[in-house]
Amino acid sequence: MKCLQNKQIYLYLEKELPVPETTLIREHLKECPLCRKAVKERKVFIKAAESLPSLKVPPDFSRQVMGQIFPLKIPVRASILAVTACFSVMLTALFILFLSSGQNLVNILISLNHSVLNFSKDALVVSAKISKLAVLLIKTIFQGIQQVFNYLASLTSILGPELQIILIILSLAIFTILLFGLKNKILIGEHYE
Amino acid sequence: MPSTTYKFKRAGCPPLHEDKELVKKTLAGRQEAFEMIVQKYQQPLLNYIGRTVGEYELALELTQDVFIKTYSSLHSYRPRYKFSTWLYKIASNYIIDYWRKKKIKAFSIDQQSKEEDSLPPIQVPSQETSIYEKYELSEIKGKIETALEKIPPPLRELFIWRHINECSYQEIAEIKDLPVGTIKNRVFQAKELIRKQMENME
Repeated sequence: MKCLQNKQIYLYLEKELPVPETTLIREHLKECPLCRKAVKERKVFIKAAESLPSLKVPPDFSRQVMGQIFPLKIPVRASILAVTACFSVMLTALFILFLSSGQNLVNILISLNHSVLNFSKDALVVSAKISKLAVLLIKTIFQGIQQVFNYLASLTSILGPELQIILIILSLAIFTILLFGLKNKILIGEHYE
Repeated sequence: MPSTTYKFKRAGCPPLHEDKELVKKTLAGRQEAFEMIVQKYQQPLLNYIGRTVGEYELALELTQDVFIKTYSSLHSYRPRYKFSTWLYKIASNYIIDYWRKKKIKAFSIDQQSKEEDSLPPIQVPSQETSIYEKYELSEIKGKIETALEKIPPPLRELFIWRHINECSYQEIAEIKDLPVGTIKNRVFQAKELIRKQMENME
């Protein structure tokens, strides 16, 4: 047997060679000091590479990952407490403002009440107009659909029954293809296949 | 990367058992199941990413991103495939994207074929300088770490999968979508390049 190739040495050390070849190499190594040295050299190299220390994972690493995936929810009691605190701070600030400005608190409250009333009136008018527009839009859409159905009905009177069947099958096929295409686009992430 | 940050514990390609069950439970809404997946694979993934990018803090960040991406893609995992291979594939693609965004020489197959011209040929052993006679094992490890950063990223990645994460050639072939023969050749080239770099360090 000829002297070993570098690649052959690695595959021999990693037990990736067939048994007959491995036996031949073992026989050759008994006779060839040069190849023996080359094998030992690479054996030490692989051993060193495979015993390189692992990087240290922080003890709270998995918790950090989970915190990013499922953001921590504030408990209900805590959130109520936070809202109440904010509200109290705002009220206190308003009270201090009134005191410092020297205005009559009752007058301000009355004017505030008027503004809220006016705003509610305006909001009611706007919402009524929006609902009217929505009804009009729905009516137009229905009329459009009716027109399409009328055209289709006149088409069936022109076309023969065989042609109609072919058209239906073709439409179904196109619809299915489009649906699958859409499904593939929607699916995000790694696809192993 | 300073070796002081390392934990002396081996973690290669972990076995498959329970993975599919954990995925199933995660998809059913059980958060603790995904946390178990994270705990199981955090070490091998950090080893791979850390050795590939060469910066510990960045590696932690990228490992976290890989787990988040894995979680969001979990619905597309098919149980007929090995979970670890699927996860490592996500990690590998994520690192490639990272290199591309950073405009660092990307892990493309075209570049690989160009680089192959400069790689060492398959040789018969010659009167080479012996590393093991000159240095202690700890010194050799240090030299490997330094040399690893100097070889092309595509080869570095394969070397890490094979000899640091201790994945089989078959599994690496599946992660990289390449034939087993090609993987064996490239891992061999990586090893010889590292050895050449180590010789030049003397």
